[in-house]
Amino acid sequence: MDDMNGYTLFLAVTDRTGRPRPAYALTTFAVETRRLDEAEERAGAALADLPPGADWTGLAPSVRREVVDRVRTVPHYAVDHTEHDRAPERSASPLADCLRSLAAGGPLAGIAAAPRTVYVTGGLPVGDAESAPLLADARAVHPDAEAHFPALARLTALLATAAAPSADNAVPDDEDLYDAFDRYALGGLA
Amino acid sequence: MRRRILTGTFAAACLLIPFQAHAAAPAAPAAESADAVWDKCEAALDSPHASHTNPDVINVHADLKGCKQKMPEYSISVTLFKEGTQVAHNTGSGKNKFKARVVANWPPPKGECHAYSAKATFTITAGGKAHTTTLTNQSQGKICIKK
Repeated sequence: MDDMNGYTLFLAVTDRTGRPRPAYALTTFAVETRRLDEAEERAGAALADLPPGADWTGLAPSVRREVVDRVRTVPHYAVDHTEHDRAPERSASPLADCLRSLAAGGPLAGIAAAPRTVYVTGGLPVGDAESAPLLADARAVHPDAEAHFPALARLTALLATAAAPSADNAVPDDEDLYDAFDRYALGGLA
Repeated sequence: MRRRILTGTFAAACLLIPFQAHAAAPAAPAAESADAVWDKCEAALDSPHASHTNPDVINVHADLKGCKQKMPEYSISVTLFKEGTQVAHNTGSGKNKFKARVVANWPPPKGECHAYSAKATFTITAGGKAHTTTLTNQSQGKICIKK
């Protein structure tokens, strides 16, 4: 099997259960595996000047514009941000719900059946979601994205913080991190 | 509560053309309807351009954005033309989203220069009613791909 075939997915979970919405969300960055190393290199260059743990809403407009311009050069297939907008606290696995939604529609549905490797940021255990679409038949699911591809892990985490102002139309296009990508969707469960 | 910074300027139109675009045939403003929330959604088609991530590829983006509520259901169909001949087509659809983008792209033979155009059809279905609009756009002159 050619490991360069297919796609590599990076997942970032926002879990604020018990706090104001969104209580739970899944942010996904997908890249063709053959361009993975190039994507990591360009993401590293794009984010090099940001402080550790930067939150999109805390960045100055001029910095946001510069980062958006740089991120436009990062090879990618698509990005998606899915809020779990159906009472995640009552779900057996909010992550599985989000993954089922991703596979059902939107920019990632078209590659749901393709060979893929998954990296999860933040050391999050996938738990009951391991049998969910996109994970169940993955070649591998790595819980330590930062250890393998730190820049792409960081970009995915940054996209999670950039989702609310994008969905709220609170930033112009040139300050909207999602505008740097060719395919994307932001919203709730399908 | 969702913040609202894009107010008033959209009037009754269901779509806006990006200021940098040169849409050949902007659709007439949609009639006011009871499903007024969807009037705030913007359909946009940018000018075909060389991809930032792969300079050997021509891209055109079709966007649904600016919605104040999630689109119950959406679909986007975008086609790229090289001097009137279709060279790429792509579609996307989903449910319960605030915004979405679909791209059509094509890698021309290296060393060639061409003028490009694009056409996209956008549909938002809400309350059993489909709101559809179509946009066209063209490249700003010929785009040359280096050898």
